[in-house]
Amino acid sequence: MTAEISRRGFLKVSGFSVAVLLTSKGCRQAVVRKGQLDVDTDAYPAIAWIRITPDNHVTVIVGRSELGQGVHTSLPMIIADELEADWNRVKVEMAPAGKEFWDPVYQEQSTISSSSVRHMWTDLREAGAAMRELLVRAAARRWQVPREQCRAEMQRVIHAASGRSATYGELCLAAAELPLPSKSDLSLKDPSQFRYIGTSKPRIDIPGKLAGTAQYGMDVFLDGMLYALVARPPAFGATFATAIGAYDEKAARAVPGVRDVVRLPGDRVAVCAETPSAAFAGKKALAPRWTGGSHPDLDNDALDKVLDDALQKDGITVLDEGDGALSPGLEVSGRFVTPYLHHATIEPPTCLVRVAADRCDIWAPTQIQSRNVNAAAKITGLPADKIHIHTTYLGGGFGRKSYGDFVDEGVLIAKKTGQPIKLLWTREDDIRHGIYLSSSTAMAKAHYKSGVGITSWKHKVVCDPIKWEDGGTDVHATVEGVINKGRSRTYARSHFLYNVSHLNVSYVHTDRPVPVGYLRSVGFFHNVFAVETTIDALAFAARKDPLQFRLDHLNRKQHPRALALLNRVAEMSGWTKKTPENRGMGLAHYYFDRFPGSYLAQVAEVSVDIQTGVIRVHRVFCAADCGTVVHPGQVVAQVEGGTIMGLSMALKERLLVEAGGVKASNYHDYPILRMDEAPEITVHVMDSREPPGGIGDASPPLIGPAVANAVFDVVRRQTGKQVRLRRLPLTPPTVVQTLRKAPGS
Amino acid sequence: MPDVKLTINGQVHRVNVTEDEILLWAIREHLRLTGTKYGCGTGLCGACTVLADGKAIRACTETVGNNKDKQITTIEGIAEDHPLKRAWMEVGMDQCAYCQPGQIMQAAGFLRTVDNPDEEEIVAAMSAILCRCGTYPRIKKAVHLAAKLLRETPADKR
Ligand code: FES
Ligand code: FES
Repeated sequence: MTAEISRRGFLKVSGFSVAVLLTSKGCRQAVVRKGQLDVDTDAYPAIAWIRITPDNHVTVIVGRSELGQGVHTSLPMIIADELEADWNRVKVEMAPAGKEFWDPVYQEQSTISSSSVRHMWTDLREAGAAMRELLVRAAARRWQVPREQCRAEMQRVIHAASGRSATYGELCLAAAELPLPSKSDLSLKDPSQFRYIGTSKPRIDIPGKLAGTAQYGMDVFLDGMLYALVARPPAFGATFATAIGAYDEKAARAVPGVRDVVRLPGDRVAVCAETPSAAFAGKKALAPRWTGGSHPDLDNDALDKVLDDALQKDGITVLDEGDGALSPGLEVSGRFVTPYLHHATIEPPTCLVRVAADRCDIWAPTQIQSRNVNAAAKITGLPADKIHIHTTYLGGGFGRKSYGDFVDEGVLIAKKTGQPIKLLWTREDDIRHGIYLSSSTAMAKAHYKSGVGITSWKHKVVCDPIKWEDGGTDVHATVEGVINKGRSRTYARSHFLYNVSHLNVSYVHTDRPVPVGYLRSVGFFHNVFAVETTIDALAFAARKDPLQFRLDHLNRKQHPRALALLNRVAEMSGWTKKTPENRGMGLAHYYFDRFPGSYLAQVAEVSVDIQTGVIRVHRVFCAADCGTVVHPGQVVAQVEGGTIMGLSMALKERLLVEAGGVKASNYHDYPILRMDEAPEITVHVMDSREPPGGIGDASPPLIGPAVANAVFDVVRRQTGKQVRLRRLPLTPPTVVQTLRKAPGS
Repeated sequence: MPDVKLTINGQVHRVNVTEDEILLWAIREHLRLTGTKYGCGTGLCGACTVLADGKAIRACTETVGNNKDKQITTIEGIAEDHPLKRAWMEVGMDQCAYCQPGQIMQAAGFLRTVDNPDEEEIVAAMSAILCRCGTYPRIKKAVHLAAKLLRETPADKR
């Protein structure tokens, strides 16, 4: 199972392919590769999306990484459908890095932000349709009949009048001779004709994964490779304690099997050894010493204090809409706190790198090939087209592997040592050297007046902003889930779900030493928690049912889909029926407005142990409207999985910081949800012809507010107390404390 | 040259390691049976779970020496048509599947001790294995199904 074998050497392939190139203007341009290729399959598919070979196989080359979200099944389904391919004769390959696989919106090759289907939908359909048109034309030509009399069906072109037909395999070489149809000649299917889109094809990657043969990041080998482990400064801003002799290189080199010790920028040091255990022993022998870092006393309390102080400041207003002069009515306000969170993928970051004089090969579980190429080119001094990325399967990504740090590290060590390097990150490395979702605080203050409605809503968010490598700041991520700020300065409009006379949204950005970045659902996670528990509190103050209150104040004009969804989830969960006294029900819904958007609604049924504060989530009902659905089974899986990950984040997770660095190190002090804490989940996917929206990033944010609202419900019914949980995670001590201080009804 | 004998999936391997070598590294890095995964290295996640004489163990906290006289079974040793894998396929673990070899091996060990487990027993046994993608409800279902399929399978075929 070495990489050499898996590359399949210089296979001879006859066939042709259509490549769809995305130019800087975002338009599509197709290129035909001629038949009778005699090429290295590694190099050949570099610009192809689809390959058809005379053995009548269709290969779809997917530019997106398979993180578990099913894109290696769903994206080929889109192409195969428009192409009228026979799914049983469709193969799927992971693409190399290349401009041809750039996301048309982000202008890079990446698998982020639940963008695969929502950004690629049209291009993939057109590519499939273009290929189908070529094959039909080739057949018409061969049979000397008008093109209109021929049609494609299940990997054949058929001329009904004469009863002739030919397989795509029989036609592919002739088709390769033809010029590509122009875009206006393409006929996309009517949705009623979809053959695969909207069905749940078995995931193509799962059998190999269950067999144990599929390759994830650590599963590739090269002859002569060394295992590398890196010692990194434990505290933020820490440097080696002394200019020389801060680590014992000699002792590390004395460990049998250790072959090299290399110092890396950032006061890191790598040990390279013939076996993992030798690398571990070598790393231990290094006994490196660092300074206490830039903030030696920093801990969670100090970090929270920065948020507290910032909340007192005037925020930067993102939106101030409507009339604030109305007499406000009754008031609900709350202060929210959420912790730093970590991706904690079970597969830690890792990579295998070989740097040669004329090329660099990288095997990695990466979500960001474009960036990996650029960085590797810079490190090795090789031109970008000499950097070859072999994307393996990812054992979870959630945004962590959209950062290039670990791949850069591998390239650097391989370059410095001149040896192929398999870089290992231990779980401790992963948790201590992450790029975390920022902790945050927020203040939401809302007013309601009977007969008038929600008269005002003032929302201030405080967190560290996500900064881009180009120096930009993602303000949108700070406020997403409250409103849509847009990613450019000129675009700011409200996607707020409710009718509010006066809406004011502002933020304060803090700047703390903990590195922050993207983690599945990003700003939606804390903002939806604040909005959806505040609306619940408002409903309670107004003495209205939480569902009815939402329905009454929903901005139906802008969000008609949310209405249907709320009704649907209410029906699923038996919302209007009486729940047993020891169970509470909580509702939450929101608009995941990364374009094209998705709507989700969720009801959680919980019980609470009043003495211990332990929350038990029994059942969760979810309804999702993510527009046109390519693979309903995968949508269900993402909503289920996202709900469980979201529950894990809401109930348990909090990154511990101490002595100026991350203290958490493994799953004992960064615990994630286990099976005994997981609820039963029912998911309904709405039928829709709207454009396809995202779902993976969209699914975690609702369970937190749904559970908090359900806790309010059950505790009030059991004890008469009003327990509004506004601090995540919802740990037993937090629940008990809030309960103690809670007012009675 | 250090040289230890390990019996994995019925096959005897000689591994060039000392007896105190971590079993996980011997299996996946020395013998390249990479279906057994690394997740935490400390017995907390279960990604590295294999069977030793039929009992589920965490290969990351075990030495080769302690297991040299045992029959080790890894995910590669569970046939495609084995009730466990059939159940896993049938239920559909449609996530990253990185944890699934460990989940299957844990279930394999568990289902050797009980043939008709109830929900509570399944949860107690399977809560040892983490899944960040959240396949827990599906795993619960799959273990139920695998138990049923196993009961229908003649003893010599299990
Ligand atoms: S890797 Fe062995 S239990 Fe986590
Ligand atoms: S399926 Fe991804 S960790 Fe379990």
